[in-house]
Amino acid sequence: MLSRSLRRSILDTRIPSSALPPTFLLPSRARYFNSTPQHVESPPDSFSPSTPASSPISEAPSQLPKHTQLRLSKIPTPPTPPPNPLVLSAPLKDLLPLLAVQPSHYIRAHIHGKPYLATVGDTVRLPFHMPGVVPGDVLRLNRASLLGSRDYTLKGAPWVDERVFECRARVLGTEAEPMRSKVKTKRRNRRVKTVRSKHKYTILRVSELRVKGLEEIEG
Amino acid sequence: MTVRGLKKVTVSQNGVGAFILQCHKLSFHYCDWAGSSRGMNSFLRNSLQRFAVANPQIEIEVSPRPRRHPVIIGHYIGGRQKAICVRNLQKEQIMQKAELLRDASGEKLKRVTKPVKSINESVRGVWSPYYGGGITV
Amino acid sequence: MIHHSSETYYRLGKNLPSSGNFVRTSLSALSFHIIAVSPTITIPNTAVFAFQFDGCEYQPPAGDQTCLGYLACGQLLSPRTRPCCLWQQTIQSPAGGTQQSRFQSSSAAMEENLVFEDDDPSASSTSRHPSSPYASPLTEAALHSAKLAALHARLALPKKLPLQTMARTLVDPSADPNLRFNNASLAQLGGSIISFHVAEFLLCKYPRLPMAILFAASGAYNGPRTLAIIAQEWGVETAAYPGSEVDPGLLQFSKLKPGTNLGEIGMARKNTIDQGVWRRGMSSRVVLDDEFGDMIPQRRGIEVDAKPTETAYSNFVKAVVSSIYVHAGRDAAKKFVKEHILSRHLEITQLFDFKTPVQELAVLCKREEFEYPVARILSETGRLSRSPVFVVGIYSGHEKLGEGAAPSLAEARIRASVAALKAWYLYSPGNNVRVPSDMEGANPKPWEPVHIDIGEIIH
Repeated sequence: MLSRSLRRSILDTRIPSSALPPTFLLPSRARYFNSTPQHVESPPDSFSPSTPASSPISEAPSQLPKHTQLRLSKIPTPPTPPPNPLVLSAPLKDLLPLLAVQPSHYIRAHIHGKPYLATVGDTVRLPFHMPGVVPGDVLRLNRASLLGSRDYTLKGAPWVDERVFECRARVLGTEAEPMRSKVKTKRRNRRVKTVRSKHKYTILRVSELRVKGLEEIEG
Repeated sequence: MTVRGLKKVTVSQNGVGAFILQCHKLSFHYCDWAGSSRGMNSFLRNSLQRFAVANPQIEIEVSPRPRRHPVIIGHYIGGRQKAICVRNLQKEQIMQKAELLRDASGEKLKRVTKPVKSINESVRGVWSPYYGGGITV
Repeated sequence: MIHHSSETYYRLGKNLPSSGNFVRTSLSALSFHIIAVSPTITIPNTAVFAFQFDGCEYQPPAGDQTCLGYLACGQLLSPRTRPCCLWQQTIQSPAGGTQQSRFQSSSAAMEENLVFEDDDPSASSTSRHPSSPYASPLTEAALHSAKLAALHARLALPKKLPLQTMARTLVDPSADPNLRFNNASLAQLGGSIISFHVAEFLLCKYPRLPMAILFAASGAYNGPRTLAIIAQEWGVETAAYPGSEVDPGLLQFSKLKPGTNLGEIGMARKNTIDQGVWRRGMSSRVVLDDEFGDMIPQRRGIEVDAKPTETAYSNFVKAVVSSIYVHAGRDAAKKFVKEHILSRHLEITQLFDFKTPVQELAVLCKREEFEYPVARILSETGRLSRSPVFVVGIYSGHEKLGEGAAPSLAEARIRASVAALKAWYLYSPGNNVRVPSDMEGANPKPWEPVHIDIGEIIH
């Protein structure tokens, strides 16, 4: 009921606003405790699936310490944003503000093709050691296949356009697993070989996730 | 006054607002005489200054430990320590060990199987078998 | 170092000078070979490098409005002639001789009877160790402390904030009672700044919170316990005992002395009750108590702080905020509070403790002119079994307000009412709600008034 009235109050312009309850009287939080069946509206595919593949590192090199800048010189520069402004389809224009005003969001961000379903404040342990980053660096995650809230989900086909949202993660550091050792033997042979492996993993924390407003996207 | 407030404490999310490096102190121990400290002494003379300038948030302490192997000890927020013995290592290898201690969080190494860890409540709510009108009693 | 008892014998392991571990050995080994070695402890040489202070040599100009007592050498005292603490001397040397008699000045005449410790520091303060002539580290020692420079860099503080001010934020009034050198004034200012930003954040984000929850939430964000945790997560360590020889990068405060009578706190409370000061209502908490709705202790004589560590840590955080405010300005302080205090995680739904949720929901519906709330069973299973589950929804007319599942019908109704009430109280206009201090920036958008609700349903 509440989302219906909220949506009506935002979308419908025929009814004078005095006839509607003011927006502050709408407990949007009520949906947390109710059991309305979910209605996930998948927006029509208006995005070009050929978003340029890019490294997630888009931090300006001038803000980094010197030794990082030196290392970053080997890393390709961040991709330039597509020149033409994003044109949203009409249903997406209607529904994107509703997604943006929801209290919390989640994202399925992809790093090197692997999906990570995260909200703000989550730690992500990447399955590899990211070169050229030091703790405290900020990465922008621009590749997402899903962006949603409690009531709305924006599905990418296959990717959500990176100009619709802003997601940033901070490098917390590098961790390792306890050393694994595997004993290798051959038959009829006394030789025993122990293989040890200990890999390093980069830890990120999702520090910002924001769905942009319409005027910010088109303007 | 039927509603009362319970006393709670906010939980840190390091990196969401500000970022605090977890390694707050590195102590380098060396020996002037022993051969295992040769690389460490060279590191202290040549590379330590570059490392310290690049990482101003780490307090650096250098002290001799005669007749012992050279050691780097990282002190972490929360009181934990990590020590790495750097005997017979070259200064480049010692720099790598110092960077390892800087990047570590100080926690004990654990095997992690799930990549994402969260303390937030579920965005889409908890699913229940009674929802959606699927069950008729 | 051999301890002879009836059954166990200990000796120093390995007989090496530096091994301090007691090793348990057999009786026969001890009887033939008893060597007690006292380990000779040499102080390790530690070095502090000048390059650790790169970029921290900023000093505010002489005419800076924010000078805190050490920056200029004009009318302000140079650090060597800092006034010593009259309060401590009058208390600690009651039987002073001819030399001590001039210190016995009343507090009213303190200004003209400034005593300079430059005269004879060791003679004037008898209780302190000779190597620690002053109550807190000297200001110039701040420029040689690696801990302090590292803390400055770790918090990413602005370069305008000098290390001397950082050193001053670490001196608690219990370590140095002199107001010129402790952080009491800074903590007072910083506490106000933090409370302001937390309060506007909570009020604008959750405009319908009842007063009790607002108190609890602000206590969770900037209560002394939270601030102490924040300071510990910044990596600030405490000095074992305050003094001028201590590294200025350590938090300096006096811990509770053994044998301190903590019953005095309870006594103070009893006294207020005896005087007939009965304050139970929320209105009196709003007016008379502190920002967390807690009673402000009555100042009678020397009060005993039961948690000196927590108080000192929280004062330090407040002082850091105010020193940023003083040196770098309002926006920097606001940003610091937002990043370090407001960015922390709090489940605000868990702060509620309802006594009579069903009645409260009925009153709410009456006040808002909704229909009377009715509980209806939505679904049930296993009514005759050991573990039934009832799902109950609370309806006002055709609108469902809340829903709860429980093993009994009454409990399910209570849970549904709690869900409906939390949904009402925790209404939020959104994540990006503007707060009044946003208007202080350059060229702000016109302010739209924020709706703040009445709050409590039943007082």
